[in-house]
Amino acid sequence: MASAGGDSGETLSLNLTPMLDIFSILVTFLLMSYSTDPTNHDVDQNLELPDSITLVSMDEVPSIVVNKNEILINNKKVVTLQNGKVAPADIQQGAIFPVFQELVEIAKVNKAAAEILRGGDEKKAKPGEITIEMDRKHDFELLRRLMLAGSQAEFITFKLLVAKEHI
Amino acid sequence: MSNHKKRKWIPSGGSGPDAPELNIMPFIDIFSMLNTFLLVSAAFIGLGIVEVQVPFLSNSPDVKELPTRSFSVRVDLDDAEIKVTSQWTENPVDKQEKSFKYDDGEIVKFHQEMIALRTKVPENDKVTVFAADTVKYENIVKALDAIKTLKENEPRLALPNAEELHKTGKDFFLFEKVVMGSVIL
Repeated sequence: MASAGGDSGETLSLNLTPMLDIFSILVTFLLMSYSTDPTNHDVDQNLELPDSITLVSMDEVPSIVVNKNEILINNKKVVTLQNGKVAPADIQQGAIFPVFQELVEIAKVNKAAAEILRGGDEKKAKPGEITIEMDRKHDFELLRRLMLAGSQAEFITFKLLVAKEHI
Repeated sequence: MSNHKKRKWIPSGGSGPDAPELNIMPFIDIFSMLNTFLLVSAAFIGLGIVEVQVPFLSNSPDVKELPTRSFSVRVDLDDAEIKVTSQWTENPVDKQEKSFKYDDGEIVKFHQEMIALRTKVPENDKVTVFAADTVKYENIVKALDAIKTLKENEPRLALPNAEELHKTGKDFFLFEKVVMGSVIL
């Protein structure tokens, strides 16, 4: 038992039972909220996700991350934002060109992987899906340009990453 | 009868000098380690997704024939308001327009309107969204929530394929397909 000895020769013992109670409650709470979800993702520290009531959980790690200052694709910085806007030099046909270039590469890799999985089956490939993690304060213009770049690279389904109100 | 001497029972935590004490230090050690591990690995934010599509042109030959008279729902998002337009593609078109603000009370009304439209024509599960460039992303997600998802405490809709939706775990969708109409070249 923990004790503190004084000069007087008396021994003071610390009552650890309340501490044990607190630990028990904490462990119970943490075990209840413990997630065994196989997809684990750390949200970019430089962005805040919008809240949502969606009941659909994240199923793949986001490929496109748009924080307050930059756009990253697979953790590689491709565009620097100026006050939440893309520089006109980076825009072509309404889309963000560097994003389009990166997404084309991802689409090629996905297509090759899908062909291997299909084993040479000539069936039509499923249109591409991609997950976007974006700061809640950005304008739709930025999302539209990203989606345009995506659709030009044959991604037609976009999964917008959100913070669920009910975990 | 037993010949054993009966021992005097001393309650634990007694103040007598011979009172036995449970050594709880190992418990505290285990709990400390468990706490540390769980706090590090705990997910305090649940991550979800809201799925949307963009219009695309397909050269696929197996295009289903659309019914001659179909129902369409269009949602226009502006900086200040949400406008819902519903109409039939052929006469009588029965065009209806309603506007809502982004505040919580109006969003609830907008959600109720979407429920009414979904139950009015159960065959239609698609909404086309047109957003202005200046609308904030958080407002877009707020509107998409009201369009796509039934809240946890809301009753599920009595749709013709309700049983199938329940089996596939998709009965919480209000309008499953949302197309971002403004994302087009």
